[in-house]
This record gives sequence, C-alpha cells and structure tokens, in this order.
Amino acid sequence: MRKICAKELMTGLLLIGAVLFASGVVLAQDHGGQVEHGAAGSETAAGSETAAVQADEAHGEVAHGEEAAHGEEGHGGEHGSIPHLQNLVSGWVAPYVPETVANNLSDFIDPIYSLTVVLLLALFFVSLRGKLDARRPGRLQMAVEVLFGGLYSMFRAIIGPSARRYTPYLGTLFIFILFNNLAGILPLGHSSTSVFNTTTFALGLLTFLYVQGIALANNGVVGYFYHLAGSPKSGIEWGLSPLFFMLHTIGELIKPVSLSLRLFGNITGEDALIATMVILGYAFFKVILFFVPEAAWNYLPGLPLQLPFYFLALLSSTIQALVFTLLSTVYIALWLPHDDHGAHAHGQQEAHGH
Amino acid sequence: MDGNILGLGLPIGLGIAALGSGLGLGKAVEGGMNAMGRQPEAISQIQVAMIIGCAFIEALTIYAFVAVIMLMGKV
Repeated sequence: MRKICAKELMTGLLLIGAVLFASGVVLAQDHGGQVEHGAAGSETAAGSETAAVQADEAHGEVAHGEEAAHGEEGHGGEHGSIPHLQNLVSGWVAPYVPETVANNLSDFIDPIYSLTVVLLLALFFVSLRGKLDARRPGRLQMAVEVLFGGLYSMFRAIIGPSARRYTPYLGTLFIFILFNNLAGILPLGHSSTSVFNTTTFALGLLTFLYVQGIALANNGVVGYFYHLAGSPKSGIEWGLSPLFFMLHTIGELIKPVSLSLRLFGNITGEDALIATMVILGYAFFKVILFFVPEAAWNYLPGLPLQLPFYFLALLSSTIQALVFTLLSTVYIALWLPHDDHGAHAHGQQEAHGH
Repeated sequence: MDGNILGLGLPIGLGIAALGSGLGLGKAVEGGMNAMGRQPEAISQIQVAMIIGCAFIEALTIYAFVAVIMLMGKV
C-alpha cells in the first residue's frame, strides 16, 4: 500500500508541475502585455507588483530589467515594490544571457523554481521506491511512514474512511506547497508560492476543479444543484432555496480565491520580512564599518538580523502548507454524502454552517 | 519627502487589521488550549479544528496585507 502511495504521489507531483508550467506560460504572456499597456488589473496587480510599480513610475520600457539589474543581494524595495532577495535565476543566470532571453527569463522564475522542486521530489520518491520494504523497515521507511501515515490520519479524521481515495492529491498538495515555501528560505532560492498569478492561483484553481469534480461524481448533476440550493426539504426551505443557491454558488467561487490569496499573502509577507531584515542588516553594517572602502562592499555580508525570522519562516511555511491542505480536505468533505463519513467530520460540517 | 496620505493610511490600516486578528486568534487559541487541557486524548482533533479556525481569522489580516501590497505602488 505504501509503495502505491509513493507512486501516486509522484504522478500527482508531475501532473501539478505540468499544469503549473502551462499556467505559468499563459499568465506570463498576460503579465508581459500588461506592462506594455501600463494597465494594472485589480486582481493580477497583486502578483505582478513590479509591473504595477513600474507602470506607475513610468520608467518601464523594459519589463523586468529592474530585477536583473540588482547588483548585489538585498537591494530590493528601492522602487517601492516588495523587498525581495536576489535569486539564482535573476541574479546569476540573467546577466550572462542575451537581453531578450533575460527579459523573458524573469517571467519564468516561478515555473523554473517550482519545476526544480518537483523534479527533486520526484527523483527522491523514485529512488525511494526500491528501498521500501515493510519486512525490513529502516530509517527512511519510518520517516516516510510517519509522513504518509500522519497525513492520511489527518484526512481520515475530516473525511472519514473514504479519505484513502483523496490522499494522493491532498498529500501532493501538502508536500508541493511545503517544499516550495521552504525554497524561499534557501540562499539564492525563491518560493514560487509567493507569487499569486503563476502559482498560488493555479493551486487554488486545481483544488476548485478537483472539488467540483468530486462533487459531481458523488452527488450526480441533480444532487449537485440540490446541494447548492441548500438541500431543501420543507416548503419554507424550497422558498428560500434561490437565496441559498446564490450564496452557495458565490461561496464555491470565492473558495479558490481565498485559498490562494491566503497562501500568497503569508509567503510573500514571510519572504519580504526576511528580505527587509537582510537589507536592514546590510545598512547597519555599513554604518558601523564606515571605514571599509566602497569597493569592498560587494564581498562583505551584512549583520545577520534575519536569523530569528528564518525559524518563524520555517514554522509558518509548514503551517500554511497544512492550512491549504486541510481547507481543501474540508471543502471535499462538505460535498461528500453525509452517511459516508464519521462523527468528527460531521462536527466539522456543523462548524461550517451546514 | 514625496508621498501622499496612503503612506500614513496603509500601515495604520494594516495595524488595525492585525489588532483585530490578534484578538481573535488569542481567543481561538485560548479556547483550543483549554479544550486540550481538559481532554488531552482529543488533542489531534482539537488541533486540526483550531488550525482551520486560525486560518480563517488570520486570512482577514492577509486580505488587508494584499490590499496594502496592491496600493503600495501608489504611495
């Protein structure tokens, strides 16, 4: 059973990666067009803050030259955008490739990072597959069992016995988000989950489609709309059902947006906090070590003010991955037939107004 | 100094959102801790419910934060 789990998880990871890449390509083109026209849509502006800022400050003839032009670490935020640290692609690859490639490259940073993370995880799980053996458990076996067993028991507490069917997707979601969040803490890393329109919204949309698919498969088309109308039984409830129908429809449509905004906001805030502390440490050190010549500054580190916030980032990365996964689980549980899951799940449902 | 009233309003607004969110989170976690102390055997279920509730409360600050990010270019 655990071998199957690892295989399904791997397949799911590759699938998510492919979808993310596709959405990254489409949205990257949108994003580029937006800068040229100087328009800042209300929703996409959240993710493409550099685009909006550059359009406002009217020196945006090159879409993302700013990011590539950052000389050393920790020089974000001077144009009023979110402070961000230099990453491997924008800082180390972009300066050495032709300008047209570099401009396009900055649009692909998130797919590049998320696909790298997916590739590493997939390689890990592929290499793990041959080594797992229930009769001769080792350290790796224990670690993987704790991971899968913990996730599965969490989903089972919410959905019930049929959680087994949804564990591959939900577990994939957890691992993908967790490792993408953690990639932002690594030096020269970048968490692709801190960008709304290439990653987190794609994750939210995937979850939305998955949940709607489960809803249609479990309730049928008639049952689906009956559930959306608030499962009316008496005459009064039938009278109120149009109102419930509208409420539930809006609620369903809001879910992916709130899920992805929550993840985006948390991870952006976390990374911006670390970047701010790096910049601050750099500035402090520059004041203290005023006698060091200007030319040497590119080779000196700043004061490590960001160190305590790394631990905060570790904590909040895990919690945000958990929250995204748990909320997806609850959304699935809300659509399942009521007799299918246990007493705990019912308690959850009551808490969510059903 | 250049800038406009947004430069003052955005941090204050975010602070107010964080204040409300903090009060709510304190209340939620207090309830969770009390429940855990009373029934240590149900800790895992209480934790799951508490984290989901905390996520909803915390989301309000995050929405304010996202609004701040969106308006930051206009300061």
